[in-house]
Amino acid sequence: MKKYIVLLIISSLFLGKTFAQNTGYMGKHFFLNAEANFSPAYFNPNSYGKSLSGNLDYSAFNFILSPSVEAIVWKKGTVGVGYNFFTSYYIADYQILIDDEPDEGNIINLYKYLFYEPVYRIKSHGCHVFYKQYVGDTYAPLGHYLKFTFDAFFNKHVFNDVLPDTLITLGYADDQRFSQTPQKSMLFGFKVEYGYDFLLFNRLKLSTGISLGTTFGGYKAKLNDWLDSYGNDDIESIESVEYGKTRLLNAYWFGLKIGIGILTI
Amino acid sequence: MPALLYSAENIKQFNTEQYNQYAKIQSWIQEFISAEDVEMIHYQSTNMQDVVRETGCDAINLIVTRKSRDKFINSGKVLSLLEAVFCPIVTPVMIARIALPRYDIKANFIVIDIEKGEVKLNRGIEAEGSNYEAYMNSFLYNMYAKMKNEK
Repeated sequence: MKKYIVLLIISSLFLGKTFAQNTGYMGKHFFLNAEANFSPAYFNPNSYGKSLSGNLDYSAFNFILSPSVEAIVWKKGTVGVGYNFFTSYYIADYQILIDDEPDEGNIINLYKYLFYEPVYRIKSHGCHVFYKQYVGDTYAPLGHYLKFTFDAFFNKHVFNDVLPDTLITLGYADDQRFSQTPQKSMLFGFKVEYGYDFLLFNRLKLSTGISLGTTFGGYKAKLNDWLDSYGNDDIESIESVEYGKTRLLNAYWFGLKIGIGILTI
Repeated sequence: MPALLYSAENIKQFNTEQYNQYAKIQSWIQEFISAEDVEMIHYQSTNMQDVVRETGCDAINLIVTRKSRDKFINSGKVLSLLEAVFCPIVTPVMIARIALPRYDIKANFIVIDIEKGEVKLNRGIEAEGSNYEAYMNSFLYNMYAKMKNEK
């Protein structure tokens, strides 16, 4: 039987050649991850209704929870699949005609409109798939990485406000926009993340990252506001669902990730 | 894989006989390094024949490492600082990242046939970051896995 003498020397001898690595970390390949993406809620109410602009709450944040299962598939890359959860309040912006008094020439009688900004709540469940490419000298699952993620969100939008008496009198209580019945929508997204994975005790992964991305939708409400500001009166009121998608886009496009993972088998 | 391990900690526990054996190995290694790649019968070969006979080992595995502190302020820490200021919810984690020391590490894993004096395996790693222990563990694990597979 062969025997080897193992000698540990602290010096800088014999350095130079790179090495070929087996896939995985010490024979293990699968992580269970619990991750969350945070972003500042500066302009829109978040999951507990706070924002910097509304409540001067500098610490207000949005979050998207995304637990996942991740597998090391080659020496520089991992793939994974996971679940998404997002919730937040948001404000829609309606201009409702309450009086049919005609305008006088170029003078628009603003009193015939009710400017109503009801609060809604969006709750999203979804899923994501990702590929993570480790960069630099190190190998999966250690060090700096670029992560490419496709997300899907299945949303429910619920009216979360009190309808004014004026609108109740005019019969808006049955309007779908102000109903307690949730409206549904779907939104997909893609983001790129740059981050760092740190492994403790050969088992516990701590991860931080910063991401940029976009949803494929959610621009309609923003575009509507922008066109309104240029005096375009032909734009119709858009539905609360679109404001909700915009709210999700707002929380999604930029993210700071904190994650923890357990190396399993 | 059976092995005799000579580390800085082990050497402190040696008796005279074990230390003499270790000294013979050290002398052989010094000569091996001095000779570089020149093929020759080493002057210390006789001593090594004794070691081979006493231990039953037929190869020496040198694990050579170097660790040095990276500069304290670097791009990674600047990014973490910006994130901490920008979004207070992540501040504690980012402060922890900033506080963690970063190291440059280099390591080589060398296996030498004692009798022939030839290098059978020489692989290295270079990396930087706070994660140096995990890098080293992964590197050594993979090298031993490779040796086991090739045995």
